[in-house]
Amino acid sequence: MNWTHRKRIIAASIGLSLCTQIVLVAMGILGAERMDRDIDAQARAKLLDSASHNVATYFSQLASMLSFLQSGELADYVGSYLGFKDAEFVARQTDRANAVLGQIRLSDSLVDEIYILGNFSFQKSVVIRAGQDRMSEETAPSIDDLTSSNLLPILQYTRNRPVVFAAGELTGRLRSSPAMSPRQVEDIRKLAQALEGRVILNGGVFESNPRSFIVIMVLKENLLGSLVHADSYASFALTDHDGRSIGRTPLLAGDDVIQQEKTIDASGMKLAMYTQRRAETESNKERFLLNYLIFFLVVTIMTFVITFLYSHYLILPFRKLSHRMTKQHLLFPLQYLRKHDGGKHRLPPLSLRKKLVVLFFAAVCIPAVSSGFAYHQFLHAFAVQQMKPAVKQYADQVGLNIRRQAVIYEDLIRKLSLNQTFIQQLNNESLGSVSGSPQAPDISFLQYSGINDSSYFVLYNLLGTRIYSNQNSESFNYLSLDGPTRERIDRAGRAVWLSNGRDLYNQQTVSLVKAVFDNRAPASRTVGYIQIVFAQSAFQSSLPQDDVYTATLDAGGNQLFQNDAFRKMAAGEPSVWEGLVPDAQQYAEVNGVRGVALVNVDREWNWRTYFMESTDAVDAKQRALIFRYASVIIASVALAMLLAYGLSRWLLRSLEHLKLAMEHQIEEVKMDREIRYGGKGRDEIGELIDNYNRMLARINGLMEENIRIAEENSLSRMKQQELLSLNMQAELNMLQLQINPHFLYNTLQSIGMRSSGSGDEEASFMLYALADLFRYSIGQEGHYVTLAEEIRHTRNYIAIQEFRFKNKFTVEWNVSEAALQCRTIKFILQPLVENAITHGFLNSIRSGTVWIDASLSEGELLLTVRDNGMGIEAQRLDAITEQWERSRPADRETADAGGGTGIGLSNVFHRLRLLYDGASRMKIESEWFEGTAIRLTIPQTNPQNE
Amino acid sequence: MSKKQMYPIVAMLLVFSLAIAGCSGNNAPANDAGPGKDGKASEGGTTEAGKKVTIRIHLAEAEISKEQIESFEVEHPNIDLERVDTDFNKLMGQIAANSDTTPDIFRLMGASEFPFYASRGLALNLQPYFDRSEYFKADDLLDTTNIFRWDGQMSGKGDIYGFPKDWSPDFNLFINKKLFEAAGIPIPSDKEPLTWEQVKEYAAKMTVKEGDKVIQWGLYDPLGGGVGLNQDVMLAQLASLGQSLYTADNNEIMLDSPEAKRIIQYWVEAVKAPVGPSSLNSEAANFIDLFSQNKLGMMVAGYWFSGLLRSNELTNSHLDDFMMLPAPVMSGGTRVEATRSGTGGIIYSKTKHPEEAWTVFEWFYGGKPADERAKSGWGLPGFKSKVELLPRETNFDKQTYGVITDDLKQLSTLPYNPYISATAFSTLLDKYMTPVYFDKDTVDGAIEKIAKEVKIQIRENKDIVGAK
Repeated sequence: MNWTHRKRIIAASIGLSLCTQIVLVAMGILGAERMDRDIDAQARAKLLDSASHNVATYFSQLASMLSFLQSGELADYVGSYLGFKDAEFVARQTDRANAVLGQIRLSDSLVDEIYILGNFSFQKSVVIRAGQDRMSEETAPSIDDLTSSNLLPILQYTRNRPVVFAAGELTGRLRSSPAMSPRQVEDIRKLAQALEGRVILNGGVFESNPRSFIVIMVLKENLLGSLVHADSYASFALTDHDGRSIGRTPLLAGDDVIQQEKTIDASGMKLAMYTQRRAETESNKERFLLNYLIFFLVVTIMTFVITFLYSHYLILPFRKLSHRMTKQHLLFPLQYLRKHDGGKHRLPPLSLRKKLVVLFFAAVCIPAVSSGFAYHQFLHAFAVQQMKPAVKQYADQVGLNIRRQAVIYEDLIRKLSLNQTFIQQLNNESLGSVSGSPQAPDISFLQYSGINDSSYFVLYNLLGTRIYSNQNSESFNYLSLDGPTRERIDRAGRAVWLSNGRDLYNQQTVSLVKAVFDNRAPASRTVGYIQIVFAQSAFQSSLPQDDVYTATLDAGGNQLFQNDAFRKMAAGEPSVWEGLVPDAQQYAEVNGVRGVALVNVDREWNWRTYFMESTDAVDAKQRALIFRYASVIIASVALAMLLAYGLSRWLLRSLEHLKLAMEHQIEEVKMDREIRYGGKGRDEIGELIDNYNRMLARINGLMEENIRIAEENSLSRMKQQELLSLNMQAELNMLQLQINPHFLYNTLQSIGMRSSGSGDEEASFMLYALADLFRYSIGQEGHYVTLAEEIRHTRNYIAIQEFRFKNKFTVEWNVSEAALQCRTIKFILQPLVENAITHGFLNSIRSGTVWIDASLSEGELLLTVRDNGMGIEAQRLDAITEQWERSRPADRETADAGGGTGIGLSNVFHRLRLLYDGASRMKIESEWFEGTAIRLTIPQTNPQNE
Repeated sequence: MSKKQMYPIVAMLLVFSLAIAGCSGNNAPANDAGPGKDGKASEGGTTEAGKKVTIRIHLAEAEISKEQIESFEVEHPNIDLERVDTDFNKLMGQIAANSDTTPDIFRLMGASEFPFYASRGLALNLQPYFDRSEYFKADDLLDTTNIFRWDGQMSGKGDIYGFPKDWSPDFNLFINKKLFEAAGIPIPSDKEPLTWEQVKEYAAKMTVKEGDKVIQWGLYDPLGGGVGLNQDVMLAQLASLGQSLYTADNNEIMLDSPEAKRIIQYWVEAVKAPVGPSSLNSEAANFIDLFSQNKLGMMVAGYWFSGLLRSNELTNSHLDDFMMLPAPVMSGGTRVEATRSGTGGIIYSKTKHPEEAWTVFEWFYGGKPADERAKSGWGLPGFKSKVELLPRETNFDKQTYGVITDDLKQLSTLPYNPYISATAFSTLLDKYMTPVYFDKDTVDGAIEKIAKEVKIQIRENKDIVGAK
């Protein structure tokens, strides 16, 4: 392939652009991959944290429930030898125990069954199931039965921690003691079966004989599924410290599953999370890549097109120049080149080097900046898309956490409402007297789960008046429960959440209120209300922090609680809620914070949680990526500049040489006038053109003057003087133009030699011919020459013309030997030939022949130049002849419009007449379209020239 | 020309540095947020750093102090000493599961429980260790220590498998003189034992009710959990009558002998009267509170109770109000002094570190801690040489010292059955006697059931150990 300059420029520019593009695209893709991985990893970490928090909270709540069951009334019940007591007593005790049991909400605590077993069969055991509010009437085994059947050791061994017994693990180890009755055996077997396959928590044998008892809690099936949000993309497994499974949510289909683990508590319980990426996140990624690559391709193509066009215009002047140079030799005088009109540009024209720099710069910057911009946009949209499913998953988990925490608080208030100290106080208040022996106050509530989050609590009597609060402060004197609230509580039959509490620091907070029943009376009755006002820390441990904003509203739209981040962001504006569709993730901006937001609805309690995960982290990462991107762009630009510099140097090297050479040569000869074209001409090409033009001008001028001088070569004094003056004119002209004709002649020689030297034979020959022509014309040896010399000169001329106009004409010579030696004056034959050629052929499409005859006859030289060209029409012929008669030789003749040498026929005519004193004759004959013939007669003896 | 060459070089350097900066950022650790396993909680276990081993010893919190543990660990840097609470059921579970955390040294009642452990092969034969020990000299050991001997069939003789921490004859009576006086009962002599019948009579007098609630009790057996039939007292009482509880081959229990029935009846009446707290009449306060708050007239306790009285703030200011009496006898019977507990230790036969376990055992049961225990007066040492370390300063000290040395002359070993654990027998008594206390069953009915179950359990245990 021919590596033209243009192709080289295009290749360099495209290469640079592609390299930059590839680096940037690779960076972009890697950056996006990394962002995607980061988002995924963060989402997983958050989900696992939140899930394990919930599991840990639950088991801690469960442990505290176990403690509760092991203390107080229920323990008394199973150790009171009720098997030996009378039915009425037993019924009373059972009622009291049921009142306690009725306050424990089993299903909220994810408990299915509770067994409290006494030591021997004469103790009455407690069995209660979820959904029942009283203990069941069924019989249950005693601890003695457990011992006899070999079930007790394994229960003791696994006490105080959740455990799952596989099917057969308990029933398989049962031993039947002959001391056990069939019913006891059956009861044991039923219990063993009930415990197998479920998560159970037992407290071990509590207290020693004879009042010992054991609490066994059987937890709900699919316990784990109620604590963690599992779906087809996330699954969990809970194991104890031995690695035995305590819970498992449905397995994930698919192979690409990531596993992570977190230790839940000091006992070594571990939660493992298995996650899979959704198909849509994969397709998001693919779509992002596709968009990005398409954009890249589009920009590349665009860059290529721009480069292609720009390089064309860059190289165009050179092409014009070289084109013109090849055509130049056909024209005489030589023509000027037109430079690009400088007036069109608004910017100052740049040097070629700078233009190349501009091209490379653009080739790098256009794609880089545009794809950088696109990248920024795509990446942001991509990141938000990838975040969305994770946010939903996380929000669902947090929803579970919130519920769990709320259940713990409800449990707390229930326990408080059973506190005997409070009941007594309320009783005293309602009865208006102090009764009962002073008992040590029951402060066991100080260790209840959730108590740390409470700011204070208040007891109200039936009219809603505050009668006691554990914080004494004047500002609390206003506390009361109004009628509608009391009705609401009474109607609900359970704890009620209020949103208008004020904590110790007078900040709005959430509170929980419940009716208090006295269960010692014959029938349970309401004696008052208890309210827990929570601190700002309530719910916070179950809520995410940092860059996630949450707030929860109750069914009535009142805000219950929020996390710190939300509080700071929203600063009390309720309008943040507008426009969010429940359970649908949207990209939102609130108070200057941007992120993915959704509303999570707890359908059972009608709580709505506003959840927003900000994209700040993503934005920060993106900024970092863009910064790196920009630095790569800068590096590429620098590289581009470097390349531009190098490449332009190499491209212009040859031009530089030529330009310098020309400048150098022109400087040495003084000129009287500079020729300027177009603008200032500071670019190389412009200067080149200038120089070239100047050279042409000189060549033109020179040739004109020389031929004119030759024309006026006359012998008469006046003519000589005229000739001299002509000569002098010519010399003066030349002097004015400060060209030494010898110098010019030498220069032409040199150029001729150079051309010959560089293999251009034709140019060299032309130049030699031209030089010869000049030498002949500037020669000072007088007006007379031999015909041979004149013929030689003519031949030079003919050669030039033949070279210029190939195949346009042929010349036939018919010269006798004798004629060669005849004497004649300079410049008589060549003008005739010129005339023949110029008028005969040049201005037409004709080609033809010129016959030149010379012979000596009777002491006269007969010179005939005949052609078969266009001829001259009759009228013009007469005009010419007449002009010959009239005009004076000193009149400067206008250059022949046909581009001839300027020495016209009349010149010949006059000189002949002058120098031969009328002894010569010149005759012209012509016929339109036939040809022309000019005959000269020149006498051979001329006393004037001896 | 060199200047011209400089520019491209400088530009090249600049470009390369920028390019590297741009590209290195891309290759920065991409795994900073990769999935990783969160740290697992490491199991607390035997740290095998170098040759350090952890020895676990069953002891109550008050029985070994932190200073004692630290001083031991300083002297024996290769041993980590860990105290664990005693729990029979949990221990059985651990043994069955061959758990890593099964204690190395068990705490048990030498008298009542050791035979059971020995028969199950859970005790390590310590005779070779004793033979080469500096601390345990054969002629220095009191006869009581024989409760830790086992010949393969019976306790009391053979190789030694354990040692008592401290012990007392356990059937002495501690009385509150003031309450005796208030009830108009003459203060008994500390040289002549009372009869059990007298004890019941006095206890009834000292039991005071206020309305439905009893505010003062007459009798309490702390190791029996109040007042009621228990194996230890029954054995002592039977021994006093020259009878034993089990058949000679240990296969059956003889509850229907007249002597046994008499004793059973005795205690049923004691419960029903009541003379002391029982399942029939529960008492929330514990025996220490009751006695020290002058709500209890008589306590069936060994010499170790004097130690309690000396240290309790409520009692040590007026120790002279209390008195120690010899063990009661059945009327018509002889005086029997015996230990029902003899709390001590054995080494688990399957311990992973017998040498280190022995080091701990020797130190605790024979070394400095043993001396400290003797001096505290919380019980008698197992060594003859350490008996004189018992306190003898106050009147109370002298009185109790006198009784105890008297006791030592009348010592005998109670014949516990190795093929039924004390815990198991006690459970049976709870199970079948409680209905009797509540009038839901007769004594004969209870006797029949107990005997039947005892026989079955003995048979089972004998089968397990392969004894005939």
